[in-house]
Amino acid sequence: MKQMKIRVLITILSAAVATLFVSDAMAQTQNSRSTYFLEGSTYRHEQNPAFMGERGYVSLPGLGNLTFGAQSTAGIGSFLFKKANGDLTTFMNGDITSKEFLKKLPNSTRMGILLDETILSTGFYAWGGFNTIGISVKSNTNSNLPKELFKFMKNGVDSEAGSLYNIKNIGILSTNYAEIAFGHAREINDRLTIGVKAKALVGLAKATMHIDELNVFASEDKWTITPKNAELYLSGKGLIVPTKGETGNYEDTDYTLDANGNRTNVLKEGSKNQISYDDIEFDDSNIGPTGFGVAFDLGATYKLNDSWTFSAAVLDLGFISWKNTTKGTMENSFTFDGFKDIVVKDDEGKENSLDNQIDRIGDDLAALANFDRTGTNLKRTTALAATMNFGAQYTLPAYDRLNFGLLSSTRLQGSYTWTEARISANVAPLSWFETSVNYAISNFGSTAGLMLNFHPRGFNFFIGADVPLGKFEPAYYAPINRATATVNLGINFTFGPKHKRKYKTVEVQSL
Amino acid sequence: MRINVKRESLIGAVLLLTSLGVTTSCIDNSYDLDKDIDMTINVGGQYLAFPIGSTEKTTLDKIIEVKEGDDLQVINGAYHLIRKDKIAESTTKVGLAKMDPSIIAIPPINVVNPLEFPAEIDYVTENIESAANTQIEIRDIDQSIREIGSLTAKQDVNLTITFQPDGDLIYNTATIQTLKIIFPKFLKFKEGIEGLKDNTLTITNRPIHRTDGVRIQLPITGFMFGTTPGQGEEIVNGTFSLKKEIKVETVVDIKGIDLSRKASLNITPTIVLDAMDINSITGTIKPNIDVESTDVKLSNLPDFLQDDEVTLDITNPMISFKANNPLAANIELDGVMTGYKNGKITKTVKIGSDNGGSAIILKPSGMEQQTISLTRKPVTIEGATNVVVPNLNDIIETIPDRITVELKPAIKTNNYFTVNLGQDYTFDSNYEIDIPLSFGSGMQIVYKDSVDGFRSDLEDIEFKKASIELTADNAIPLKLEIKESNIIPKDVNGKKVDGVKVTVTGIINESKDGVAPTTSKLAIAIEETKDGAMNQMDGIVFKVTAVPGQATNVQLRSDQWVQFKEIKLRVPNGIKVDLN
Repeated sequence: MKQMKIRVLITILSAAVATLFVSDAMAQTQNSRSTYFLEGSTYRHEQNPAFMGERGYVSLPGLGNLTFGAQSTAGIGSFLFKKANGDLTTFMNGDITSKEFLKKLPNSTRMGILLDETILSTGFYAWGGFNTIGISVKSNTNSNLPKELFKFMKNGVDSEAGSLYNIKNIGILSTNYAEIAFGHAREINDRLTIGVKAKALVGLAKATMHIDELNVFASEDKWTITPKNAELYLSGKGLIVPTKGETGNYEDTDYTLDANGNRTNVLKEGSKNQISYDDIEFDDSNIGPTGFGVAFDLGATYKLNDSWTFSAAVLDLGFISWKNTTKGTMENSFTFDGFKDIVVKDDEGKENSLDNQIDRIGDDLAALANFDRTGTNLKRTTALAATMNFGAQYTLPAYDRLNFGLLSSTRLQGSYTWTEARISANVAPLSWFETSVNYAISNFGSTAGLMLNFHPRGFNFFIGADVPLGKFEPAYYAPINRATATVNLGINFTFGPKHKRKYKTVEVQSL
Repeated sequence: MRINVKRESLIGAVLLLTSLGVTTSCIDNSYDLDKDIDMTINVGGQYLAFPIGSTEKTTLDKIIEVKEGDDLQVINGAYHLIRKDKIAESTTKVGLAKMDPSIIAIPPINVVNPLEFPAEIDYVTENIESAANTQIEIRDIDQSIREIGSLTAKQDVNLTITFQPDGDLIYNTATIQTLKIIFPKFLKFKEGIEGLKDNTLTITNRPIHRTDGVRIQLPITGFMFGTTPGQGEEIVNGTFSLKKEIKVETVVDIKGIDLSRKASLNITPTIVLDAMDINSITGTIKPNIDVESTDVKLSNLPDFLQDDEVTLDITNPMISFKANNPLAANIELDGVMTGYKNGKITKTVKIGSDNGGSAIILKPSGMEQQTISLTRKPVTIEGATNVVVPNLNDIIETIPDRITVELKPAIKTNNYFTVNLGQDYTFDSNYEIDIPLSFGSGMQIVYKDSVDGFRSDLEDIEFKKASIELTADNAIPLKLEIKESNIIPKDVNGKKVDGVKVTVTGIINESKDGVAPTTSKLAIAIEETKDGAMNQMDGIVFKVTAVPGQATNVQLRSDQWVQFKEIKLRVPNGIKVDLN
């Protein structure tokens, strides 16, 4: 038994440690993980459905559990540098070496903003366990700019033979959906607690722009920009994504040039099918759900002894099937291998005049960024970003109001995959107050978290924040190393008696 | 006590953990975003380079602009420097001359004298002779007339001969049985005079009127001395003087002599030549033909021929003169062509036989113009007479801004020709300079140009070095060279910018025949050697030096071309852009 416990412990710890080294990960948090080891926290079940509430609760509508924040793998210090004279300058300044800049830059510069708002939630003990019902809205928007892109910006042509930049995984992803969740947790025995949560998902809008590869080659003979698998998906009921052919809203560069370099009335081939970005809009009278899906959260906790409790959860195992999806693809590539037959004299009005050829190159570059609409009213099913949490909690034997926790969280989301390891010190000095101070290392860098949870009978208010460690600039308090901050707060009304766990070997010591 | 220990532990733990964030998070004032941020950036990288591409085949007519009125013209595709204009009209004339009337008194002929008085009543004399010289003189003859071979009168003039008898002899009749008057050969009598043959007038059986004698009138048309030089009469000090013998031979028949009274009978011959207005003279005549010097201004030359370093070695330049010769003798042209540039003489070229060259001869042509073409090498020119002037290129070797042409036409021959006295003989002439741009080995032309306005375009851009490399296909029969010293960076005030080093590698080789292109590589680099020098640059002034190389004597044509290919622009270490 003891060996089995050790194996479980090792397994969990190994998994947690392993996730620390998954480098190509993405930033994504929902509820503050500072609450994970706070037993008085109302919304622990969001982290692990096996967590049971201290009491039943009803949330304050709209403010039961609100999380918002922004994350970035880079900060001001990644792009602004101090010169020898103390002035600030950008990474593109000649005084900043490539090595100096790239050393501080993450492999991917990822930025995200999140909003997770519980509209209404309740939890109560019944049917042999703890049950939760919640309606919430979740919004995540992330972008990913690979290091190679900045390397190109900084280094340019860094080889006499020319430089090839293979810029992978450029993307923007925004997922917005509503969730109705039904959770149930029950103690299987005095050590093991399991929980499950079923979620009905209502898709609100989703936007994906992704370029698998953007190959930039620059040499004295040729400059090429070649995108590969550049796709755009826009899902939203009432979302109108018209083409230029439908709106007639063409730009100058959509028209061909005549031999004299003047714009004609003849459209370039393919212009009609290009998405007219300026005309993308929502039809107010037709806004509504644009897809449905289901998801499940599974969790378990295992109390090994008075000191050690282990927990594991898989969250958001599910999918959403999106309707009303418009697909766009970017097929154009750009090649410039020099101007052809430049007219030396009388360049005005000559087809090959330098001015005209520069105009055409400009057109080609402009066309590169155009997505062609290749499908409308498509259905698209996307998996939710599943999150795995593994926790190990150590309660101080001499003072059981103080525990220490190690939480490993990994969110699986393709290019945006994110992983974090967090240690925390959690103390509940009063029966109605507890707090957690924690420190995390993730793809977004290190953060420190503080959570204050007030949970007297009948009422619960919590507020917490994860902020990066390190230095801040004085004017706007923006983090210098990584721009990451998450705030989590909520007001709920509790009811019912305090739940007594089956396993309790150490009495609570009163102060 | 235990509780206290726990409380202390609790407080310690909390303080420890909270201090983690507090101590590791702080304000870094050096990152104050309210302060100015230096937005100077470097873009492009260490080996920034662009493929510029290629130009079209640029024919010379796109490089060398030819406008109407320019001295440079395209004729059948070939470039020629053409300059033609009229030479100021000049006239010459030989002044009028008039011969005064003259009287020739021939000594009396003694028909009868008392000492040898006839014995018979009728008496026929022997052939009696008498002679005298003419006294013809014409003064103030035009100095151009050196010798008169012949002359003609405007109108016939009369030569009147009278034989007047006198003496005491008493007789019935006196008759000239025969009379011969032998006139000098130069006198030209009107055709058809009875009894006149070979300037000897023979009269027979002409009674001598006792009081009026005998009077004979002969019309004269002019004088004739000879037809070749030396046969005529030389004019000395503008005076023409003739003293030629006129001889009279006569036999007189006298009837009814009063033998009782010995007395004499003489006959006095007198010849009177009326005044004569001379119409024309044939002889050795050297009229003075004054031609004003002509300034040929070469003011509309293309830029590439105006640089001080330009030296022309034209295979066969041609200077033509078109002129008429109204005189009936060959006119020879001598002359001096003097080139001037900025007021200083560049070169002098002398032409004509007097200057040791070939004779330049204008044949008599009336008012019709004829063409004489001076060339450096012999050439056949339809409708023109070619005269070779080997050093003709000298006058344009350094292209002058004007050429003064001083021509001295003259009749150098002594051969006779005829001029009408008092008549204006007009010389109408033109010149035409035709320099076909076909070059010899000594040719060097310099194309000078400039580009400016960099400062406004590159105001916020800075770079330390830039180079351009290209491959040139050249079908122009000129080797094109850009010397490093001929690329001069200038600032906005047009002053040379110091601290900018220019490096040129390679030249553009010439097409050997002006048709088949040759391929060359050329690289030009410009580098800052003094901080900030590039930023002062507003433009560059550059000169392209062109020499024929091996392509000598190949005509420059407007359809010859040059094409730049594989043009690459390199900006090592990128470009600094000031976005502040």
